[in-house]
Amino acid sequence: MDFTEALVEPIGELYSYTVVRLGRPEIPAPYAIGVADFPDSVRVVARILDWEDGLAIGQAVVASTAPADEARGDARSDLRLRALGARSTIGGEAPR
Amino acid sequence: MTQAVILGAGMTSFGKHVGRPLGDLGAEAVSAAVESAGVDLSDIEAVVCGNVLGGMLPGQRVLREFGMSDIPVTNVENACASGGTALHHAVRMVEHGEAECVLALGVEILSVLGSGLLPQDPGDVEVLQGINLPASYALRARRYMHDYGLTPEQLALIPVKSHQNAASNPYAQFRQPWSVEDVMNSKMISDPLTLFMCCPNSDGAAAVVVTSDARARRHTLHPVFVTASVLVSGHFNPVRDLKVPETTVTARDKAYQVAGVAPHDLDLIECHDPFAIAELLYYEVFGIAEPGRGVDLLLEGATKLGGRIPVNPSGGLLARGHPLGATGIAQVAEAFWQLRGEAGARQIDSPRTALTHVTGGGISGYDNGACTVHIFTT
Repeated sequence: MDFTEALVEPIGELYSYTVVRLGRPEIPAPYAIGVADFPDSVRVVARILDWEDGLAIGQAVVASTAPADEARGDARSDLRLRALGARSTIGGEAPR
Repeated sequence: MTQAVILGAGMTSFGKHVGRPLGDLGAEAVSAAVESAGVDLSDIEAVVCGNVLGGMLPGQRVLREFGMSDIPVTNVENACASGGTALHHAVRMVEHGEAECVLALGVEILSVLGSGLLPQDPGDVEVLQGINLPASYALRARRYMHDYGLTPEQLALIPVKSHQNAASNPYAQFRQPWSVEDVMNSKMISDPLTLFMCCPNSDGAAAVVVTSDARARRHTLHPVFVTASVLVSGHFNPVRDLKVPETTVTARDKAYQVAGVAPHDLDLIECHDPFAIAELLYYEVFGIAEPGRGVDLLLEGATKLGGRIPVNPSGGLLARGHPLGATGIAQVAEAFWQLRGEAGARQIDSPRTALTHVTGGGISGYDNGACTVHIFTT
């Protein structure tokens, strides 16, 4: 068994996250990494865009791709999660 | 099947041995182990050596210090479980009658890397995203705190306890006391894990002599029996509960069954605590705490020296230090000294059963890639 490509429902939920302060040179720290669960048992582990306003377990996230200046042309490294925080809410309700 | 016995143990101090060749460092541990066992170097029939980052033929480079030759030497690499894996195979050789006197050795020099992150597979799908070892444990910690209401200050109680235990261990890298404030005020590495909640990169070596019950009885009235020696790899399960270290669960089940022991039989545990959250998870896996209630043991003082079930009496990876390949053997040295009443100032009162545990991780989709659990009885 291995990782597979999957069509992902648009809205997932943050299962856990961390802000990495000590990283490797390839990715400038700090950056946030999230584990997010989407419907149909799809789990995504990826860096989170727009994490600076704060993150919370259970928060809504969408699967996204890296901004142009970070993109490497490899789907595995270009996958991102975008936190739906104060700046972008779903259904008018801000996540916790 | 022959009953395997730990006949002797030795180790170097853990810490920085800058500039010291790997062979020289390993030889110090081997000399101490052979002396402790009361055997001659010429009695050693085979060697299994655990090492991760030392390059080719680490075991032979150690043995060259003694001019030993021709005996079979096997080098094993299983990430942080390399030392436990070396012991496992040494025990199997004795149990199966392939050899009567086998040396299990672990040696590692990490000072050459400095104090940063350990190298991982750069093509790993999660490493590509920026996951490193502290981050992978931080994700576990964050979810645990969310589900069970654990606070960062409570998490800090683990390194505080480990340092308290290590204070009386002359082999430990960090012997000075730390307060909760010290831990909380140290640099943030991967939140919620601060620097003092992460183990150091260490240099060190440890060795034990494994022999048969019959041979051991010619040397000692107090044999330390290997009653379980379990090695498992993890399994692919990317959508898992990060609070459950399932590789260790598998190894625990096998070890408890083989040894015929239950959690209440254990008198001490040396477990794999590279990051503070890990020790808490293992309290629960090994059954000395209910899920989510590991913190109660810390608040009660149960796992410190003098408590009812000391965990990492040596100081563990957090305070004794973590020279990867040597750690699994150093744990066995601690268990051996404790069970033989040779642990000096940190001696536990009349222990009869000890458990040691290491895991090696860093592959995405797996809780861990390797895990060993050993149980020893007098």
